[in-house]
Amino acid sequence: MTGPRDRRWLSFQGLAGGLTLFTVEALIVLGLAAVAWLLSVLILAIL
Amino acid sequence: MLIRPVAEDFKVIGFYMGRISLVVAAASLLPLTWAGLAREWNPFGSFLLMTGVFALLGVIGVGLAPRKSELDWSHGMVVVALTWLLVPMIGAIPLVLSGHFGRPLDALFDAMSGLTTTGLSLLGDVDHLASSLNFWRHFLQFLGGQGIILAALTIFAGTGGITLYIGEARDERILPSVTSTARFIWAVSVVHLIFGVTSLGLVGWLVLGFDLDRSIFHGLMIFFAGFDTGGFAPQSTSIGYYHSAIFETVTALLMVAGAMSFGLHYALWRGPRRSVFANLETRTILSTFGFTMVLTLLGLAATGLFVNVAGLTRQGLFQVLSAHTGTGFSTVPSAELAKWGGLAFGGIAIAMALGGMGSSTAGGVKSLRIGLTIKAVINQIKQVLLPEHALVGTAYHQSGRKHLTPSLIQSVMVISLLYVALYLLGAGIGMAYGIPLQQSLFESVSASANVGLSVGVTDPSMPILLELVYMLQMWAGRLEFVAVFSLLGFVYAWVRGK
Repeated sequence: MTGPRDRRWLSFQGLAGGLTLFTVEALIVLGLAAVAWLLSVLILAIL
Repeated sequence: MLIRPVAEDFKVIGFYMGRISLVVAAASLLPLTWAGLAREWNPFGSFLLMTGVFALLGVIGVGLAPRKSELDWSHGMVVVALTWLLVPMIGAIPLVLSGHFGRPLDALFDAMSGLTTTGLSLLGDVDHLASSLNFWRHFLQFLGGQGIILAALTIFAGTGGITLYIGEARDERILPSVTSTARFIWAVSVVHLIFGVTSLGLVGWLVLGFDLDRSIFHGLMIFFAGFDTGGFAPQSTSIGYYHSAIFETVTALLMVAGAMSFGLHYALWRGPRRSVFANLETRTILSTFGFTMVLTLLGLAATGLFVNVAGLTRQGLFQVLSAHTGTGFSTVPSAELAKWGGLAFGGIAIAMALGGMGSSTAGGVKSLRIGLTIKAVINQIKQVLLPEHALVGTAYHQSGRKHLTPSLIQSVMVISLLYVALYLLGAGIGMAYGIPLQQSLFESVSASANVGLSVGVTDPSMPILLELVYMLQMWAGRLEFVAVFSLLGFVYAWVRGK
């Protein structure tokens, strides 16, 4: 049985939360890419 | 003394497997409809046969009607282990009949690889495969990643659900009931389906110049295989086919999302968001990602394969992310990956072995176990170095303050050691066939950790025994051993029990 808390996923608030989740994940990937870029610069400079 | 199972035990197991078969039969209507709409009549016939077999088994199972439909722990584990054998066997029917596989076992290998979200493939000519069959391969990864049991739990709520849920290697109940947790997991998937397919489709259409329907097809396939950390791709050259940094970035986002625990998804969705970065699991995966990234970039730079920053970053980052999340997409061919060697090879192999987060679709040892193991080792060292009566703190943060108990350490160590043993099993068999240690270990780790990156060992001409061992590794690795051992115990009790 689903309660009001579960049904909230289908509401606009739920979808906005989903969009936030997707955006945070995009930021994480960009953050990881930035770290990889910095590491590459450092490694190529050292080698 | 082991008690031999009685007819009622078999009825309970058959009843629940029947219910799950009916759910898979319903899911099989999707590729059947796809084949009909695409006018692919040969695949249509084989999908009809497959759906019929699932439905027939479902009706027989449900018709067993045990006196008590409550599922105890051992029954639940046996149901999970058998389901993960049964679905690939029946699901391989359209692949066997497609004529794209040299032997039926190869088709079963691909079905098992698909369902366990591994991504290793023995398919001869993926570029000329009927679109409905390609859809079925990718949809199998979605079914396996989401969890067949989870799908059944969403529909058939009832007693014993938690046993099935845990049997499928999930141990995190985000919401109070298993059913509401299952529904939340579906909500997360739908959000990623909408945003993922739209983003990939737009890139395909606007950047790569694909037709609209082709863009959507590729977007959908990459979503299924990326978000469920599967690794199948509609083209033989995997993600390298697209030659697009932006396509790789969206794919990377889906891979990262797939390797995140659903508890983390919940926290990021509903908050508090900052607390997730205090979790031991989050910190561990960020650290191991950094470590394997450094190893891989150092190795690649040392080989001289990539001399500019952009090329080194793009290739290194994508392959490490693919390995660490257990996806198996690649932007370099297997033959080139095999040439990487040294530190880069080690970095990728370690990333595969470590795996993603618990209660996600990723495989491998899993970050929380790695974090807890490191913490236990540090505590042991502290106990040796500090005065005899000094107390060593056992607290750690993982969705709240928790304590590292001896039983928790034991359980973490046992599962971690079993993974190491599984990695070594495939490597040993591979070496017995004359495959060099490095390649043998890489492919074995890839199969056991349900990754799918290959250095070319997985090939239609591979020895049958090695193929069977990889299938066993994919199955045991996906279920994290407990359900597998329960099935073995059940069979032993049936044969030797009294």
